[in-house]
Amino acid sequence: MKIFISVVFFSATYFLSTVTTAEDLKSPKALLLRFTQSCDESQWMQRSDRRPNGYMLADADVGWNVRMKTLQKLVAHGRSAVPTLVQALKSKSLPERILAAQTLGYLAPDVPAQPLLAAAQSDPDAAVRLYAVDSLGMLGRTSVPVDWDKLRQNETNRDVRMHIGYAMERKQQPVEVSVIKKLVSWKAAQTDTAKVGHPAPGFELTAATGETIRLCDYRGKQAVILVFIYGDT
Amino acid sequence: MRENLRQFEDLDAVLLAIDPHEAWSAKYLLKETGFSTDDVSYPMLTDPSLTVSAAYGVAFQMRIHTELSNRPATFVIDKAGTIRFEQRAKTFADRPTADQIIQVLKNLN
Repeated sequence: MKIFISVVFFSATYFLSTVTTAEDLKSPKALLLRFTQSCDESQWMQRSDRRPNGYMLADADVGWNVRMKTLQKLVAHGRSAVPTLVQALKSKSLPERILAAQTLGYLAPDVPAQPLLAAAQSDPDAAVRLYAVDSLGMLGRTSVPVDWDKLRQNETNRDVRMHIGYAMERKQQPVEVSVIKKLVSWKAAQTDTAKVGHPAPGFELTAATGETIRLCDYRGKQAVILVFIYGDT
Repeated sequence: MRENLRQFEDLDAVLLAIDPHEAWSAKYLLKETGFSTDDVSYPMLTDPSLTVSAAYGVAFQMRIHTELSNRPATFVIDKAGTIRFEQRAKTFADRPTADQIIQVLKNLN
């Protein structure tokens, strides 16, 4: 009787856990497939001068949302996602190669440098090379030494050369573990929750000068003008 | 710019900038132009995990410099922590002026 009850209990909890976390348990392959199927390549891969809003993607574009969720879930998989992503660096689908190149940096240090270096050297698309360079930098010290100077000399795209500059600036410092932890513990329900008249989503971020700044530090003291910028813009 | 920052301060407000990259990019860009991060007169926060950018609904919405980056956006948050103003850039140059922000700050209380 006792055994029977515990078997029922365990099967019930197993069933519940598969229902509540089926989404999280999606394999890296399934996540990538859903991403490539859902992103509107015609909209966001088009050249900016051919899009109605220039650099801006349409307000209604949900592509960014899917991209964020996919990135988060792949990183939450940890090192088990690495082989799928390394393989995806050679995919025929450009959005898939870009996402794979970007995601691998957040899986540091469990990522082989060689496939990222190969993508940074020879992918035909500059966005893939740029994200491969970023991720390669995030790995920090690699077993295969990276000749950044040579990479920069051979690079034809100005933006990618800039990112090689960022990577050189870090002098083999890997991405901070706290950055990865933050992304892993991120909940999709927190997406796009900033609305006028509602409480501002809280945050704790590091300034470029090194200090930690929390939004709640200003509560009751000062109003905050929050400006999302892009590099020098 | 510094003059505007002082005006914001007089209205009991602080400006925080959020960049989606790790701090290395800011350091590199400033070094290229002969400055350092200590020369920036407002806190430059970094959001490399992109979680704050996603919470504020700006992540991956601008395709510029070969990247999928944050849509430029400005939010004003009052002392109680409530969002009182937002402007999400519809085109690249679509930003509020300092005078607009000052007007918003004056109307907060």
